[in-house]
Amino acid sequence: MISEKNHLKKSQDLVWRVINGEIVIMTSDGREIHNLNRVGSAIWELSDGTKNVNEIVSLICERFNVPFETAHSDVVEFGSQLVDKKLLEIA
Amino acid sequence: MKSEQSTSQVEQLVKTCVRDNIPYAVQFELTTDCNLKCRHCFMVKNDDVELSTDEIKGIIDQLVEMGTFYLAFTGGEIFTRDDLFDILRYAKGKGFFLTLMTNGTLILPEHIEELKRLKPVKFEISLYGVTPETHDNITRTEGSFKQIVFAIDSLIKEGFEVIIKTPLMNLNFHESEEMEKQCAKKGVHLRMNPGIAPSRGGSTHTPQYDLSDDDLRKYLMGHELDLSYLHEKDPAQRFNCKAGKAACSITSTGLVYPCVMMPIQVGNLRQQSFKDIWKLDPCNELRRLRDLRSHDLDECSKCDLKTFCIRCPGVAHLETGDVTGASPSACRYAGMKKMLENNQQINLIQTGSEQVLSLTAL
Repeated sequence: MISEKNHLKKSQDLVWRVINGEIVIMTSDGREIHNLNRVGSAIWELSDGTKNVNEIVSLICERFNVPFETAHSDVVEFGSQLVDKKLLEIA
Repeated sequence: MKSEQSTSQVEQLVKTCVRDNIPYAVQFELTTDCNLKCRHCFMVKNDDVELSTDEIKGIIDQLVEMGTFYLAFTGGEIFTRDDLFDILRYAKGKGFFLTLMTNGTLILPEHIEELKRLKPVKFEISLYGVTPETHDNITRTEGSFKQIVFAIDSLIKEGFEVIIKTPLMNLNFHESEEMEKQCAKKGVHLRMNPGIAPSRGGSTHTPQYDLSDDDLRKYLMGHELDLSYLHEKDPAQRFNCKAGKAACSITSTGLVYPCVMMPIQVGNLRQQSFKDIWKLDPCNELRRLRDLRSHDLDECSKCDLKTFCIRCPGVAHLETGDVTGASPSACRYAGMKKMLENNQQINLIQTGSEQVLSLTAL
């Protein structure tokens, strides 16, 4: 599980594009596809290595007008999933 | 908020791209210059000013925005461009699956480390035989065989995926079996197909290098045609393709074609953005291509050779000027394939009858 102080960044060698408004990530072997929904796509885009989890949570709150707790839970859960799948890395 | 994964989603992505006209695969011709003089080359040297490094980078940016995942750089010979590695580094930084299509002769030992950093998903290299005599006769460049084999071996040693592409002609057919053996030994995929594309300059196809009927028959008796590059297993759907929908080709002067084999200009990137050409204001030719369905191909949709057909709309266009018409080369292969299968069935029936007779005799 990631912590609030962790900075998240995208793993190398993935290819990702915005397709019809949502992020589609293809793994480096071209065999796995990950489709992210609107909130997931925002978290992905904000994971640029310069922001920690709390900063991402704050930006998600602003962008989607959701309470801090909800955004926090989503970012931590989703960020952890993507770290486990090696799509995101802890910078 | 889950991320979903499955290999069938790759197919789903391709379907989405075809449906929504997202150019997920683009072939980008960086130059028409080449250091070889292959007898059968379909490329026509373009004397117009080629795209500059900055223009190419600008187009790469546009492709990211358009949703392109796969970017293949081709030529001419891409290694003749002094700025090739600058372009490749830029493209890598933008995140693409890169394919490098090259004749391999200009890949030098000092390039290997840089190529390892760039991690192209594959190299596609043209090789025309197993001897210098055959290969260099086709490239009309002495020493090219030695250089290409060196490049192939160096790339394999470093763990790169290499696909060797060999069009079979009457000039190299006699080495085709040995090609298969040597490629199998090296562990590389050999994409060997009979026939060569007509020139892109609109000249009539001169069949001087085509296989004879005897050689073609011999080849087809032992091989299925390698259609892996078409990504379409279903013959009923192979009348149409992704060109102009989810795939396109960009020339070294910035023209956009539906496919490298289909030189129908649908836009000019020096005058319009890719988004305008592809999405916002597609020209009539592009709209027509996107609207084509199997039944629009009047002659082919009724043809009884359909199940044997390897028709490529681009080759049909190059051969006849008509994307919807029959492709004479595909008709030839299909006719021969059907004849061979019929003969095989007759042989099987005859063999079966003989066995029945033998059993009866016992």
